[in-house]
Amino acid sequence: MLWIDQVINGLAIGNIYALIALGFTLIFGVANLINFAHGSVFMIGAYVGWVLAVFLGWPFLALLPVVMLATGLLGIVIERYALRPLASAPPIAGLLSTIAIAIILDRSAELIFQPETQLFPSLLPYFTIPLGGITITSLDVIVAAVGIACATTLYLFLRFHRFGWAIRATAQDRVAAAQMGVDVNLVNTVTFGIGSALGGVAGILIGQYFASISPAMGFQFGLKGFAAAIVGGLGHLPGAIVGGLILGVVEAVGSHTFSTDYRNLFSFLLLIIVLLVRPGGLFGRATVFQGSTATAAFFSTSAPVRLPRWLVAAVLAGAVLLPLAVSNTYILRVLATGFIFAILAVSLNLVAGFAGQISLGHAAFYGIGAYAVALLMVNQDLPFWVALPAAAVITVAIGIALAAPALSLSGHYVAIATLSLGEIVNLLILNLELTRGPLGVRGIPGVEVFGYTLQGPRDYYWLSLAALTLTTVVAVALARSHLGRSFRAIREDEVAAAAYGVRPAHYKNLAFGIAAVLAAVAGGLFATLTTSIFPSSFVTAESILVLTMVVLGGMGNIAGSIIGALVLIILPEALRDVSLLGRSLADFRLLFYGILLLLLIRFRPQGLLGSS
Amino acid sequence: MALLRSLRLLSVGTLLMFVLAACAQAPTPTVKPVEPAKPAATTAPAAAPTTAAPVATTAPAAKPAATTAPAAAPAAGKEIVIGLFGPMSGNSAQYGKNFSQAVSLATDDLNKAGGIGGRPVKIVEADDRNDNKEAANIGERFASDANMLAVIGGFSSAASLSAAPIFQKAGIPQLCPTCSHPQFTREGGKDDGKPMDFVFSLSNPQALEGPFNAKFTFNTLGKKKVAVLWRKDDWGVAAKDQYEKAFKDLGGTVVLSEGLADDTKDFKPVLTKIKDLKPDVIYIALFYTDAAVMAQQAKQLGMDIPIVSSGSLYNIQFLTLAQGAADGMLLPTTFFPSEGNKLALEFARKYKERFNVEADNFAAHAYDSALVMFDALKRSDLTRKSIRDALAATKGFVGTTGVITFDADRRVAKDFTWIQVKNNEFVYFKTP
Repeated sequence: MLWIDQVINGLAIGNIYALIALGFTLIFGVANLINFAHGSVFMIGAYVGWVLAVFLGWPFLALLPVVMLATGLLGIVIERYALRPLASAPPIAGLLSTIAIAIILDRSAELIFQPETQLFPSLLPYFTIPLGGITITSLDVIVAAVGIACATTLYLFLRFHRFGWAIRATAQDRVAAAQMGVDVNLVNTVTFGIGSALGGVAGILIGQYFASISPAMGFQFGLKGFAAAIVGGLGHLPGAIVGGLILGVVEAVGSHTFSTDYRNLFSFLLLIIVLLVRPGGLFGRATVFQGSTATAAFFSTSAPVRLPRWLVAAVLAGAVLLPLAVSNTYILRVLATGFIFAILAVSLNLVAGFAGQISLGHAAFYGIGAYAVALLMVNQDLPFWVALPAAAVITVAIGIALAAPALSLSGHYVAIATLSLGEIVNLLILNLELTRGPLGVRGIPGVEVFGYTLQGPRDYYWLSLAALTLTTVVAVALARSHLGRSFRAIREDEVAAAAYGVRPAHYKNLAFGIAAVLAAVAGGLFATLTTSIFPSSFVTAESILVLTMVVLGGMGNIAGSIIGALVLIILPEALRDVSLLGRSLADFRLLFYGILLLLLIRFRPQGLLGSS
Repeated sequence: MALLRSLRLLSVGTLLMFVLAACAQAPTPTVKPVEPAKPAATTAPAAAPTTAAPVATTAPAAKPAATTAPAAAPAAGKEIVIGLFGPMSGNSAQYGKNFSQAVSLATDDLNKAGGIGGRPVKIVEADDRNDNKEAANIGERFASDANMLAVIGGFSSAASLSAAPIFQKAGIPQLCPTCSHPQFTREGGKDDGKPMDFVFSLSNPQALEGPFNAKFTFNTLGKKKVAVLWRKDDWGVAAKDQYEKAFKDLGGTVVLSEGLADDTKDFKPVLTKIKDLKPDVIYIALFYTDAAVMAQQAKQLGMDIPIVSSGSLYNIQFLTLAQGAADGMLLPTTFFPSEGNKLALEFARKYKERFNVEADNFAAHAYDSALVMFDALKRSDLTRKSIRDALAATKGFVGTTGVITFDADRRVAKDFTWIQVKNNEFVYFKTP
């Protein structure tokens, strides 16, 4: 009986996931785009409803259409100004653009509405219904009814309405639809409008369901809705509902059987298993696998800026000598952190810029490396110079074991799979006894060099600079070798590369392997610099930050990645002292990252230094 | 095309709506107003209060001057610089905001009353987003600033610990308002770790609170079987470890112990599981936003198992969010503004008056940290080392969260008061 109770619990929360998944899957089906901003649109919908209910006292039925209109329009604006200009670019451009919008919306909501959780007063009839050993509420019924009603209406619209046909035709073959006289741009606009309006409905219902809202809810529920849509099959409406329900039940039954500690782990494991076993999802078609990779062509439209040798030598010499002139340890620490992130950015660039695989889980490699170095030094008393190579081996072994299956996927699916892997690794670090869970690893000893123990930012400045120099030499050599050419061949056209005897899977694995080694080095340096590490340093937001650095510098441009990393680490620190409207500009730094990413994708996709 | 054009118009409309939404909330009482000019690094010292500050109640000698001239304020002379760090933006920003408001309240009062020997105290704030890497950068920034004499912060033990070794090495005292990590003041996170003698915490350590709560549950309430739910972070782990160990030592049984990720919204699976295990009592170590949702869902499931909480929940917003579902819940607190604690009552009144929001546990700890720090400043030669020594010598200082005496480990042991939620209000709990 208890099992049945838990299944009911799972169905109740699954309903919620399904509601978010609906809008998500509709947009994917038509625009062939993973809309990472959907969760944020959903959150904005919740806040619009909240403002109307709390400050203007509107009843539910009055505010519902307004919320739908507001989020629908928000979706249209996003489509029109952030996505349509990228229509001819490869899918990665749109994906990054939606990530940027998600950051902008989330941070704006945080600034406007404050980050704390607010009460969403009850607007709907509330009563409880005993069911088995537990109870469901009227809200469970309403959420389910709205979900099914939305899916049915949409289905009928797509099946029987002329414009519905146009949407389906566009979803099937955009070019052919355009040829037949369908205004595909209008179709896209309308789809975004409908999908986002659905997100708004989900927003107020979920605000009602939990009687509370916060700016963070967008990311949190967005991720679950996204998982539900993929489990059901991207682009498949009933699939989204079934996917949501399955996800909910897996979480509830998994939490019951094992422990709530692993709840999110179950979701992401389910996601990965579905991706590997049935990548089209339970109901989706398998045509999602295209030969071309996500980043091709788009990022190689410009001639990269070539830095003259003398300039590189001068900058390097200046960097080496800098600590002799600067005694401020704060500046040196910020720069050392910048160098560590530059290593990470170069490492991600090998994967994203050269081999064309968009990884949203790079923090996983970085985290495994940091924890391996820290634990080997603290538990086994190994010196850094033994722990670091060992950590590199461990990172490559774990990283490749996890990532290899994901690399048989292509396009969007690499991004989804790496995002899930990043989450899984972080959840493992948070839950394992070995990694000391949330308590983190503390008391990591200093690095010894010829009997001298490094201490303080100045020593680590030189160590990280040396590591960065070495990383750059390796990366440049790699880019110029036949390996680099093979990577680029895969990036440009996987099918053509395969036809010429370059085995994409092998080379992708190799790129991830080399990137994993470099990320492990960065992790090891970070661990010894900060002397304590915690799971919160290796989250998806960190992966996105590193990806922003790569895009900022220019995909495939090694010097660009270094500059991108230094800019994004140094600038927020420099902004601390600048204030605007009584707040330090540093408070707006994440908003700034979002805007920067959005503008770069739109106006300078090749980044600061151009792509190669 | 006409449709597209109208859509374009409508899109402008959407933007307008958001602006309106933003404006609509500003004048209403339930939402906190933007606080009057934070003491930013570049502006005049906090000694020049802004016009929004409540001047009537404390009647300063001089009228609040214009924003530029610190000379008009009571405390003149070279300012004493104290650092404050915490999450001022990001998901934990509400806690950093509490810190910032409480410390500026204490600082403005001090400066109006003449500062430290006629010199005003200036607070330099830095935002760490609760991110370890940024906290470490801030640590280095503060430590390398020769003018900075001491630091208050940060919010979580994890972020504070990332900066602590830097403060220790630089020999600048750090006073964390809310760090309850068992080995917060020791290196390496081990009981026998080398002491960091420049690092202080104003929060009762978990090693004190856990056994205290366990004894209350087992002895006072007479409950022998407990289910424990805890927040999946360093604080939650320490809280449940200490509690469970003590509860078992007393002879009780822990029938379930599960960690919940921050921002968990669906508690029904674990509550259903607990319902089936039939414990006598549920012990929770959660933050108020999560605990409120939990309380609601427990009520929905018709659960009547008593709930005892750790001392993190004292916050009016908890009651607002729980909407009556938390009735009966028991919690210990060191901060409870009531007739029994006049100091806390006075602080809560001033805080509400100035910021139009109820002071909570976190704000009170930050306020006390500022008071303890100022007290130490007065007893020191205004050097980092002498401030550390003065802090370490703090004995019997009465703050809003209790009597503060730093022990050899630079930790405190303040008395708890048991309170209960009744009719959606916090009231003293009387032992039945």
